Amino acid sequence: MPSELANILVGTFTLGFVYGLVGLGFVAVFRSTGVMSFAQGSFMLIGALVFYSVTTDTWHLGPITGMLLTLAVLAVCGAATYQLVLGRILGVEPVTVSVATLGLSIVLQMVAFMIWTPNIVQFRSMLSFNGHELFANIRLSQEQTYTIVVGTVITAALVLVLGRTRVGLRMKAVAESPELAAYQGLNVRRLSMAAWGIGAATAGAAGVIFGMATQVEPGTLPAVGLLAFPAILLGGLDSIGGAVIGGFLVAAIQNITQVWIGSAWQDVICYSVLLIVMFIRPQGLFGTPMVARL
Amino acid sequence: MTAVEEREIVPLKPTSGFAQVTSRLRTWHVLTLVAVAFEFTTSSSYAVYISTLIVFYAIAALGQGLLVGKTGQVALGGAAVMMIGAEVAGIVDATPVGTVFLIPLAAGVLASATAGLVVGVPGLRFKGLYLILATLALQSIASFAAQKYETAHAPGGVSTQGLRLGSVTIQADKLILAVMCLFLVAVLLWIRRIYRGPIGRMLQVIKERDDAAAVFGINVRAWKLWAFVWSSAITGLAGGLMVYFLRAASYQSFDLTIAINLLVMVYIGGAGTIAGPIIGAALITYAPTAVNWVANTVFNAGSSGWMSTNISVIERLIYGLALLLVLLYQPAGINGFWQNTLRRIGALLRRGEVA
Repeated sequence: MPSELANILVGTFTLGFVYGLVGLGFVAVFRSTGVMSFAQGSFMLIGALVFYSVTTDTWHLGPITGMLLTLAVLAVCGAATYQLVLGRILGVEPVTVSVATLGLSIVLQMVAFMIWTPNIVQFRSMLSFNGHELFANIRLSQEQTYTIVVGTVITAALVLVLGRTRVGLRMKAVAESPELAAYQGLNVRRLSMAAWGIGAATAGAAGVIFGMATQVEPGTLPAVGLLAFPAILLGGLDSIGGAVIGGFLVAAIQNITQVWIGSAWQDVICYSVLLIVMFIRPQGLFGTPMVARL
Repeated sequence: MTAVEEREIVPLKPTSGFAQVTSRLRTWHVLTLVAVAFEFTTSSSYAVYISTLIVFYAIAALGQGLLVGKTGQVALGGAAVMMIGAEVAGIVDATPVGTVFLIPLAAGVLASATAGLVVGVPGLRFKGLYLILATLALQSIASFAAQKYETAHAPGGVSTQGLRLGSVTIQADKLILAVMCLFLVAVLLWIRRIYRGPIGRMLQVIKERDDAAAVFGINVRAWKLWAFVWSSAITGLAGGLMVYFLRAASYQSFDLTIAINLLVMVYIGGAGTIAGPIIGAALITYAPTAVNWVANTVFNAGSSGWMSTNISVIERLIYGLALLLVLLYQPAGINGFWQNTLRRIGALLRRGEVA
């Protein structure tokens, strides 16, 4: 296997999990509240910085406990955001709340700047095992192995929870019609809060994975979250599995572009694909076709 | 579309001539007069500079307000169409037809409108958030194209030779401001005509109940596209004017932050109104100066210490908070809040008169 192809494959895996996880969190929020959250990128940043604090800066936790703690902190952050800000007023249109999350994203990023400063940080190397040799010349580094393991576990857990359990079904019911769901005796507030918690936690995990692969640059990291949008549209806005596959597709497009065309073309080709998908298959690969064609 | 009739509000008491004049005089008429009087008497070139910026952003925000406020459709394409307007105007300005600045300007507007059309067709296939995604794509593609053009033909950005009318060039700062104000007034009058006419009422129906509008036989998608193309054209005009004022423009100055800024202006001022985007543009453009002033005089920030190193962070924080809180708690924006307050005061006064 040529080394170019090997690079593409390995790069796709790491970046694919980043977009996939951000997208999963996005879908969790979208499916249960109808809100398109622009704050995912900022939650990514906060996740990476919390992980930096607990593993590198202060407590020197291991990569697994560090990740668990990050997930917990971010889940609390997301739930608190809903409870304190977004969920305080019911009956605001999801579109309006979606625009409000643009403001939320700025606020979260600035709070992160105040707590951690906007300086670039790097995680300490904390993985003790060596990389794996997959084939003759594809080598997975420690970070890549960690990414794949963590990404697979979180993705599998979420796909199960959101797609196969009663809670996941209820969340979907809340998004379809909050009123009807409330009449059915569902606790709309608590379910939305849980969705925001899940959304923030998965974004946080994506932040850690991204930071592991390169470094954490607080000024630009939230913009990486924006690239999850082509991914989820490709997969289908409301499809859990689609978000992950879409993430991998976008990552593959980016890596292929980088290797064969040039890294300057990465984003533009991704967004062009997005526009083309909107033209020919607006519901995405796995999404539900929407009835309202207004 | 004359189905929706405008209901005349009949005053309870016969009003005097003076009351008739004052009731037609809106608050913002007075404020505008005061602002204009200040601008043309001030000797501070900084005040003129800031005002000119406010005029651009007011035009751009009015354009975005036409879409966001009147159709309820959100887009993040403001910066991209401004960029297209500016780049195309700059490119055409260098050609022989550029001697009259109106021609490059018109070319920029046309290009922005075309970009709106190209992105609006897929973006408006479904209602809701698809247009945001489509305009994100536009932002990326436009800045990529502009970057490619600039590195090949115009290192550092496109430039113009100022407001040329044949052999005459408008040079004085205040005169430039006056020209920009003329454009603002033209846009304002046009938008007012739309808002108060049948098209405005139709767009309002689309915003409130698009399903009902479709039942009435309104082609919802076509009219949303109409609004999006016009909003792109007006916002593009602001970009074109900007490259004439600053005499140069680069794709880097039109990033996503600007697009979000324009939305913030519309929402903070009051979406769906005419005065709202202008109020928003003035507030957001002036905000950095105001925050600096408060930090320095009230909190005594000085040149060292936490306050001074974090001043830009605080500025962005206030800005984000403002967007968040206004959208959730005061969706009608400052203009709506002000109108409500006026109405309440009026109601109180009337009650007093009756008693």
